[in-house]
Amino acid sequence: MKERPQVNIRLDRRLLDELDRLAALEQVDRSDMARRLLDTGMTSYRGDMAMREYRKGNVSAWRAAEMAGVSLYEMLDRIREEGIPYQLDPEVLERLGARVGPAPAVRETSAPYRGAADAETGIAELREQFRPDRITTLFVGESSPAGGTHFYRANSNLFRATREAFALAFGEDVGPDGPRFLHYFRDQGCWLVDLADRSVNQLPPRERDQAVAEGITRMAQLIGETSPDRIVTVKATIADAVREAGIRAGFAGEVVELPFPVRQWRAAYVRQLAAVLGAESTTVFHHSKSL
Amino acid sequence: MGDVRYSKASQVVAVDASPLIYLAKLEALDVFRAASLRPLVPRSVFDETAKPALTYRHPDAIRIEEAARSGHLEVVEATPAESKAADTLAGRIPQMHRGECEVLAVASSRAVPAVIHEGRARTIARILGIELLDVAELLFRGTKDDELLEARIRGFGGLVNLRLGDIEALLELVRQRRLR
Repeated sequence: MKERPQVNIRLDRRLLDELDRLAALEQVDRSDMARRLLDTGMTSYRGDMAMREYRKGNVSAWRAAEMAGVSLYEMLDRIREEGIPYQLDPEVLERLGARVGPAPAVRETSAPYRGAADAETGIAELREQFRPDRITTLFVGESSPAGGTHFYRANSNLFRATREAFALAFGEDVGPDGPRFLHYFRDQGCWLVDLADRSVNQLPPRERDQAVAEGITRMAQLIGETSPDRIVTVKATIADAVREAGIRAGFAGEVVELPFPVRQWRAAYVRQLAAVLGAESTTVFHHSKSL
Repeated sequence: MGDVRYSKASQVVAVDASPLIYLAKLEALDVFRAASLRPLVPRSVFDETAKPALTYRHPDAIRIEEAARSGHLEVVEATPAESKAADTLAGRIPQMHRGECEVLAVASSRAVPAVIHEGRARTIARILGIELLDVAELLFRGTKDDELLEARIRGFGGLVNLRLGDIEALLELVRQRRLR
């Protein structure tokens, strides 16, 4: 026979009445009903607690299943049903981009670039295709990614986060697919260039810094030639170099500094860029919603 | 799936439970062989994903059992040293299931990549210097037919509530692959 220690608890009158009502309906005594309710209640509570911890990122799905006393299958189903989103590791997309390689729309050498100059990979040519007649906002990055993806190939982290920010600021119709967003981006007077003329993210730190530093003179010349209304740096560590280029060019406009949109900085990038775009929508951007 | 024997040239990978379940749900357990990967499934992972009690309610578990029986999956026992390492990890990181710790211990001691879906386990794997593979990568590497790949990516996106931007990015890569 099961050991059943006696426990005394104080209940509100309302709870006790409900307990008796349920016991009568089930034709069991009050104690039996209380045991059943405690059992189901604890199961439900354990499940909710496990989901809460999973949602907060405190435990893995398997650990949550263990906490809830259910199989991993059931926990994965519940996670899906509750719509808890899964964010793909950005590195996965980078690796897949390098593996698949670029579409053959632009002549280029085989990806990944691994330090090859943009002029050799076709990126410089592609970038020119999307150069606006009049540049209002000059986006400045550090360099082309070494993995073979690129903003102007509509397959990089920077592309996706920028498009998301524009969609947040102006609505989803800013570009239903990659190429159309790039045209939209150009039509708004936006252009993305890089400080370094080759991918640097696989270079040793000293060479990387040198490649960026060498880009300041070229950037100053470009800023002087294009006279943008505003400059947006898309990586925090290059902001000083871009400001230096702006000073050399006599640029007096606004320099907006954003983090590079990867991992935990992605959300901040999207939010901040959307805020900048939204604030300026009536003066700089010419989207139909702002007219 | 018929009986299979992996060649010595196949790259060995340790597989965690969630990726195995997702691949079973997508009927894509064949991706390992197609991608020349030899999947090691630690005993605790196999027990969780294929234990007979589950099969009635989760037919996907039958697929995993069959895959192990036919040699598509290789169920391995952790060595005493690996078990000890898994216990240590589980003690230090109570947010992870002990089975996930076993996957990490097996991958680390045998110096093989791990197929892991969970963010925390991926972080620990990086700290331990374990190379990582994702379900999406397996689907790309092991699905030669582009239409099937697109269907599997969409299915995977639905199973894990993948963000719309990520699904679009993956489908864009499928389109690029098709163009090549």
